[in-house]
Amino acid sequence: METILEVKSVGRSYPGFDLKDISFSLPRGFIMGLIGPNGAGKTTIIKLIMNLLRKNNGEIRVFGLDHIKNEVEIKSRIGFVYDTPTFYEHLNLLQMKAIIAPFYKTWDDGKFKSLLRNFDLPPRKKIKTLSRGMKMKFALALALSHEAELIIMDEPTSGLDPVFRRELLDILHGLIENEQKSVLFSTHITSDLDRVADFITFINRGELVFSDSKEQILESYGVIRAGKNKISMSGGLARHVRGYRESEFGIEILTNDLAASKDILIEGVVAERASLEDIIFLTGKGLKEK
Amino acid sequence: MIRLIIKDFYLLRGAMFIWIVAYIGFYVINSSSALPRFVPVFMVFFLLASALALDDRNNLDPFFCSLPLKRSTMVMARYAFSFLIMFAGLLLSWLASRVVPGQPLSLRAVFATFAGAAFFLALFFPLHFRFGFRLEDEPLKILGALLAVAAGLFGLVALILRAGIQFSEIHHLEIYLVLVMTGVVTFSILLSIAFFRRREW
Repeated sequence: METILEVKSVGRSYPGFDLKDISFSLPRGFIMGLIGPNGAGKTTIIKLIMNLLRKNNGEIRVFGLDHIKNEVEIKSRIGFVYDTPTFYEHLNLLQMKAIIAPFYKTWDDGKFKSLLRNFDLPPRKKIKTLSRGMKMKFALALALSHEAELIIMDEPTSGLDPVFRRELLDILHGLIENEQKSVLFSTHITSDLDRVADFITFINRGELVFSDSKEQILESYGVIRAGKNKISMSGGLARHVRGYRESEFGIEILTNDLAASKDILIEGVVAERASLEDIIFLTGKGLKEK
Repeated sequence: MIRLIIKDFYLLRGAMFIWIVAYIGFYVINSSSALPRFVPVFMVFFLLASALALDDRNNLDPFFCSLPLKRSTMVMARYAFSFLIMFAGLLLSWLASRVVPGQPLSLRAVFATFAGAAFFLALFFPLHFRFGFRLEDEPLKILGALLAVAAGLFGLVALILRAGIQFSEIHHLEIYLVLVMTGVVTFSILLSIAFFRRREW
């Protein structure tokens, strides 16, 4: 599989926040979801890839090229959509397109018009009158009209109503059908990943928790639920615990090796596959206080 | 770079048209006064401020940085646009002073105004490319105040030159001024590029 994006041991420090040693790669023709709670570092990673922030260490290669030395070439092959798309608000869609199109050698005007039609975007409507969802679609239409091979989107679904969100995710899914394009998008909504992601990279407090195929993650992670005092986290189980939560009803333990954990459980303890939401919610929980 | 310059002209076409029409009308009415001669200078700074404010208000610097453009190209395009509108404004002023009855503007006065404005931009742009257009942070306010003082000094020099006082007998003054201006503007461009490359969003 050809790797379209490779992030190797990338770090960046801010006062009060460190992004540490992040590594992942995205093969061509797949969708990767970058997930984590608010403030985890998702936007920072995307900005580092786009060279809107400077990394302290590590290496980022896009299409096999260094992302700073070959910035112009790389950006001509990337479609980037901000979490809040920004345009000249007083212009209409065609006027804005007229400003952006000349910067891309591969701009396809026919495709842009067809995308506007598909997305139900009125070409002569002023940008300031568009809803957030429509702006997001317009940004996506711009990103797709120059034959971008990699689409990078920062929180594209946040703040969208469920109908728009589903529509947008369907569009993303449609993009990779010819297996030539790849998509990297950040989100904190796990159902977005359930719907479209092939790979998931989970960031928490600036650290990489995992980056793997969705199938592999859902296969290996599990949640063990037991009543109070029914289970001990010492011994064999401890190796696989990635987080736990105690409540008045019992304990929930997140394990990254469900099969191995099942073998050491006693009767009356339930072990089942974890949903993405379980994984995001329970990862790291309780371990700090232990 | 040309596409970026065209973009700025395209975005400000309405404002430019209004300024030109208003200026012509103003000049015809006040041809005997010296005031209309300064209007193109105001026009230049108004248009430049409009271009910067438009990008800043819509938060478009990071957007343009996501396009396949070198940051140095973006910086140079902004300088080129500014010098083009400055040149066009002064040319308009000079032409108007020739057409409308009254004392015509000398080329030397036009040149001195151009030099004063160029020095001002050379001071202003590196700050703009480092910090953006908004004067929100305290250090930036101090820098802004320093800038205003420096601009005032340069403006004063330009006025003295315009009046032809004191320096009128110095031979080839304009050549020295061009050399200094070229040096200052070149340094300013290099500084702006270095600053803009370090800028983060």
